[in-house]
Amino acid sequence: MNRKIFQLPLVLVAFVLSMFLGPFAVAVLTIGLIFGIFAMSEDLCWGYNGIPNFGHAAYFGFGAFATAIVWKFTGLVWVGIPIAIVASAALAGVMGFFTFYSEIRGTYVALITLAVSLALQMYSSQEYKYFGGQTGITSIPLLIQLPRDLMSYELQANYALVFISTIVVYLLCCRLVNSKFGFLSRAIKSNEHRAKALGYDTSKHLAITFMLSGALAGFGGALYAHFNRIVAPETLGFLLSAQVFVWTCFGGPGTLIGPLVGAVFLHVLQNIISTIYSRVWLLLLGIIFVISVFFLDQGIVGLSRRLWRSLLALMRI
Amino acid sequence: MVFGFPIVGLILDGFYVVSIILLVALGLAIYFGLVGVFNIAHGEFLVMGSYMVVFLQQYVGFWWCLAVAPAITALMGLVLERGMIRHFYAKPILGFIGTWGVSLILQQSYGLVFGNVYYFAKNPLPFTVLVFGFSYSAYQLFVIATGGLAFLAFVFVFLKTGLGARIRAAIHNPQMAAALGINVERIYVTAFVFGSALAGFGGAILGPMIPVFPYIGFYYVPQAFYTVMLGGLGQVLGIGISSLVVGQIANTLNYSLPAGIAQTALLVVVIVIMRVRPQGIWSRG
Repeated sequence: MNRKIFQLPLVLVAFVLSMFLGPFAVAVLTIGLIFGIFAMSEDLCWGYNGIPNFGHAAYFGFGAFATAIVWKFTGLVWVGIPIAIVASAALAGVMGFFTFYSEIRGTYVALITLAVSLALQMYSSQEYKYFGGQTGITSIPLLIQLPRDLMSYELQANYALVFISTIVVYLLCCRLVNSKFGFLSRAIKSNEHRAKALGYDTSKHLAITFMLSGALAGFGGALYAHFNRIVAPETLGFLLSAQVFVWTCFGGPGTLIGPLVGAVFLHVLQNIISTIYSRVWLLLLGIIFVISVFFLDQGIVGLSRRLWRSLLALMRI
Repeated sequence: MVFGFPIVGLILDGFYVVSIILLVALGLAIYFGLVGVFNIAHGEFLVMGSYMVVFLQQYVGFWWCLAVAPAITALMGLVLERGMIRHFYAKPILGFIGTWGVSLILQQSYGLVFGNVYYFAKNPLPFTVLVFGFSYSAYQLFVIATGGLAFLAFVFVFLKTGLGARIRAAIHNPQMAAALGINVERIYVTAFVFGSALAGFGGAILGPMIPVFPYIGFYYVPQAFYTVMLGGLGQVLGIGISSLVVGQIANTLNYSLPAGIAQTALLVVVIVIMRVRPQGIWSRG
């Protein structure tokens, strides 16, 4: 409990300080935090349940497209968000049902999820009426629109909204993973057969987790649609799926705070590097990917925890 | 003409797709059966084969390229297996993730080295042949024949030779195989290097038929995924059957629907088959 008391002012200070950054930095941080929500939803799958979800962008992009399509056809802004959550949850629910009730596990899950993401990307790039083809859907309005005299604070207001959403999502996820539900997740991750032998319906649990994770990704996607203001077929596809996996692995799977920090950090890094050398970022991303798999089994969070512990041990001596 | 399609052409095109899938999927399936690692960078090996044809064709004949490309990708496969996947025999899913990173690295390296432009290789057999009264590209017939021959050779090695018997033993029970004096790790390496060489060969043979650019590998890998998923673990005949199913369905869908929608429809078909037969099309029980 006393750790939380220290964390709260820290977060507040970070929030207030980041409000004074320039408009470009605020925009980058906004998208970074949205990707943080996305990475936390991937963490529910991979970090806590050991579901190798290699196509998580499918649900993120599906949510983004759902919001964008609602806006495109009705002109309504806020309504799109619950619709996106429901749509992504439904897609993830159907996929989870087919996958986990067929007793498909491990590498096969990775293949299926990746294939879903690729297929959706190809589909949306050739569907013009709703998805808008290769260009996607453009000029989506910001979520909060201020009157003309407060226009210069618009980005900051939207940033604040995303910041608060991220905190709420983080706290909700913490509640989830520390509940009975979350303990069952860990049990399944470490040994599914044993959990099954104890009488738990593991297929159902995995399918529900997958659906929750999809719903959360859909929420992230809905925010992304409004703050990025463009939703292209790539939002559903291979590269974003790879990126969210890198963020999760780099930050520390199964820690929640790790993927959040990893996503924000790597997104900011990407923007810094892309402005200097435009074409090396993805190469670097691949290298970070391999390094995270090779050397960081608990990500940077695990690394810093280990360093902290050895520091404490040194001080005691 | 059936449903407005020239039926001979439809079936031949289907077999062409099947041949390509076989060349890509055979190596993947065997290594997957052995170690449980699915090499995502396989698609990039394929692209490497295509690039080899594009560039070597200027100096030597096309048929030499077919020999050089597999050698290069076999070397890449050896480096990848020894350098990375070897460390993940106990945790195959991490090896899988690692190859995903390698796939990104290779794609970007191709983009930096060769440029994000389309290359076209020369077709060595630029004429058509009459098949049952249907005029068909001679080169595609050559691809079909090669794919079929490769599969037959593979079945022969897998079922009738000592190496095949050792591979089957290692798939079935690696500890027992090791106890009987089989060097299991050497079998893993052999299978991986062989699969990489086959991918390079597939890429080389595909080179004259496609625009070659860094990201093309990912158009071929999903169908190989489906084939391996439907084929069942480490069963060569299962791979043959499932590649026939996937290839012919994919081709028929491609004839009748726009490409992106056909891909989605194929995925739906595969998922439904998997729900009905989770152990793979060919396996018993």
